[in-house]
Amino acid sequence: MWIEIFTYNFMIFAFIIGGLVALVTALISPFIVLNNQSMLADGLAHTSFLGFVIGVILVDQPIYIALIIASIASLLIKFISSKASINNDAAIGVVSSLSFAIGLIIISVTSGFNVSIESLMTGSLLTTNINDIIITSVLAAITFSFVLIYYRYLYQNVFDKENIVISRKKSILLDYGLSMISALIIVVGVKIVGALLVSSLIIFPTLIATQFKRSFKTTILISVSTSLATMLFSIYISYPLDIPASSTVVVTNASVLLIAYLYRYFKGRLVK
Amino acid sequence: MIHIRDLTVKFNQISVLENISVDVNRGEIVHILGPNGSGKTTLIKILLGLIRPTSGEVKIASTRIGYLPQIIKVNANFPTTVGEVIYSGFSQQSLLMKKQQIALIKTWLTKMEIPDLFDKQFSELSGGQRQRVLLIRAIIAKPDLLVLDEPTSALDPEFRRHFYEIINELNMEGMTILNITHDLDSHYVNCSNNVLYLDRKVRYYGSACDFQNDFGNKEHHHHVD
Repeated sequence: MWIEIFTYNFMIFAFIIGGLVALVTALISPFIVLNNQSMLADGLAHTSFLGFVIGVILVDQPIYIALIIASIASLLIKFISSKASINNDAAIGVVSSLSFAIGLIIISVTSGFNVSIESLMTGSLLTTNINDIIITSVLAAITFSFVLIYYRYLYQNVFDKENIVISRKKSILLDYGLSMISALIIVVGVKIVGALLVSSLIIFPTLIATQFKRSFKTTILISVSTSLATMLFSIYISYPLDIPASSTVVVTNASVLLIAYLYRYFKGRLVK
Repeated sequence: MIHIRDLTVKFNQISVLENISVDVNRGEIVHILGPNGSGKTTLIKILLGLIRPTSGEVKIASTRIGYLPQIIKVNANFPTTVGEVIYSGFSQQSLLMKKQQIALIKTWLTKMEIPDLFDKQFSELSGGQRQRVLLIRAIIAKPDLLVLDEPTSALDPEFRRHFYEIINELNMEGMTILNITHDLDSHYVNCSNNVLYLDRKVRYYGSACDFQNDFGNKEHHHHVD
């Protein structure tokens, strides 16, 4: 049972795509969570729900429509929150609840909506295809290049925003770029773990990594490696145990966070 | 180096700065003083391009600006080491720090009397240590204009003297320095320094020594020894 998993194609697909998604979500995680943008991930998950709903109605591959709608929504959120009168949290709340509501209305008026809402909410890791793997790989390549090329600005953007403006770089373009890439990543994440759970893939890695109080680069490395490990572990145990992989990822991450927190707590006490 | 003409800044119709006209030559030190809410930080943010003026003209002939913000402005929960923070001030950066860059950072840490902090978490430093680290970040790339926003607010009096020695040294090498301060102490200031006293308008702009003689005695907002 525990070995024959690797003889199923759909399980191999699940490991590849799950691993890729875990890598990219963890890579952008510190730049979002430490910038107090955790809600952004949640908001974008709601808008990609709308994207998938519209996509299902219009085309064979709803993920393309979802990618487009989520990127537009991410720019919209950034734009609304750049207006001084509305703060970022509120902007995310407005755009995400609106798009979620529209999605639900469309489902209720469309007769014969043939995708279960449950699969949109909790993901469908075991029914991915080669097309999903290609999209996710391209996305992973874009994300890695973005972070490598703009690392120093991304770093300053979180640590000391004003300093970027002074070094005459467009902080705002960086913000839009990051939020658009997050949107694309989250769409793929919705397919894997579902709209309800995807934000956890962004939030947990940084929460876990920051418990170790290392340099920023090491924090990213810890974030990426724990994310990959928890994802592969969760997929591996979920199939024989017959539990949903997506929920398993969240529970595994929460357990690792607890252990990391306890490690830090007791280490701190020992030092004192 | 800096040319400001008829600068006015308004927030919600309320003017924060009115008709400011100031020229700063290359190689000068200007201490900017004034009561709270007098527009000191606003003026600096205009120069740095963080805020747009409502009207007026601002020209800066600088190729590189170093900026020391008030320490409360940086994200203190950020997991990063002192070495990384200072490294982010270099104009040439790669994924891994170069040996001579690390050596330069360590030389400066020693000069600031915090030699062992390279691998320390920035969030675990005291206010005074953070201020010194951010100062090193501001000057490590040898800017021609250095802007300091209350640089000594968290420093103990003893190090404060040393701090101004370092500032004067940098100035000798040709760096132009703007320094917002609440405590202008004659021990650190010499007569070639200028003082800009702001209270929405320019109340005084000229030699630091004349300021202390003529203006300082009448002002109670600041103690000027």
